Amino acid sequence: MASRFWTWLHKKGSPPVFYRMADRWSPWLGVAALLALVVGLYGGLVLAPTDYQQGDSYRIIYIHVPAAWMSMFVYMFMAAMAAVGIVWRIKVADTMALVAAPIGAMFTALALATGSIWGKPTWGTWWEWDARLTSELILLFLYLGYLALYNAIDEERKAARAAGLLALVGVVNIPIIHYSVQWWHTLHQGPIMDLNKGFSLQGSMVWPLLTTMLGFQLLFFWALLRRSQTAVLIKESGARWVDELARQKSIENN
Amino acid sequence: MDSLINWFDMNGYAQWVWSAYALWALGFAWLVFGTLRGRKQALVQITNRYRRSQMQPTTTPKNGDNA
Repeated sequence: MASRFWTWLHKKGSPPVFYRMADRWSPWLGVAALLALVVGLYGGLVLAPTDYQQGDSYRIIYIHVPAAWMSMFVYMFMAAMAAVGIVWRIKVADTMALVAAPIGAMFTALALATGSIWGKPTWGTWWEWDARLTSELILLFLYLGYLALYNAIDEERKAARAAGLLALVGVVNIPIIHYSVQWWHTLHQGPIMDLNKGFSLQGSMVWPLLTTMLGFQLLFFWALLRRSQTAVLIKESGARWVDELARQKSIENN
Repeated sequence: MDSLINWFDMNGYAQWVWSAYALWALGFAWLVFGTLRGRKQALVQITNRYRRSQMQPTTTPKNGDNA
């Protein structure tokens, strides 16, 4: 069983197999992401009712919550890929971890910025050093630290290993972000979804939120696959399968 | 129709909502166009490399030319 998993993992992790798989999935992911974003944002900006307390400023939720959720999801994904790279020495996993980092940093910066913009009309302040905001800011520094460390080491394998270890250590911050609003008394509101109580939002406000979250998720996987393909092509430049691909592209372009 | 929002006023919150969405649009534009641009550049790079490798030398070096 273990050896079968090992074989499967290495087969899927081989650059040409991964490249072809990504080529098959990316267009579908791109179209599905676009569809989910258009439907979700239409629902959030047009169909969802105005909030009785916050007015229309609450509509920032349709980008703020998905961005915040993705900032944590991408970090977990990056750490998992880094672990696979460290344990099983699969180069594509290292590549995916590296490629995910700037995307995760963008989601984190977006969550912080949109949260700050939302905070001004709601709390009367752009920023508060409370547990949720501070731990999210630390997450942004972790992403930037990962990228800086990776790029500071010339040898690819060592860079992936060192940055991967940093990513794994940083995982401790994820539950802190998630539970910060429960563990500490913060200015930030509590969780929107509770497993026991359900959603604290009205149904007509919830479905656009879930749809935009799906759109963000799909767009991440689209970008991840496409960017990983790019990185794999550059790293494998000169390999026989890359030359074969170049030959096909060369014929297509003529 | 009471759920239809006033896009330019939004109960006085328009500037906050639109500035947040403008940032979102910037972030996603970077993500999408950066991804497509990087891919295009990589494909051009490997195609050019392949074409160069396929080129035959037009002249045969004479003895001593490389000395």
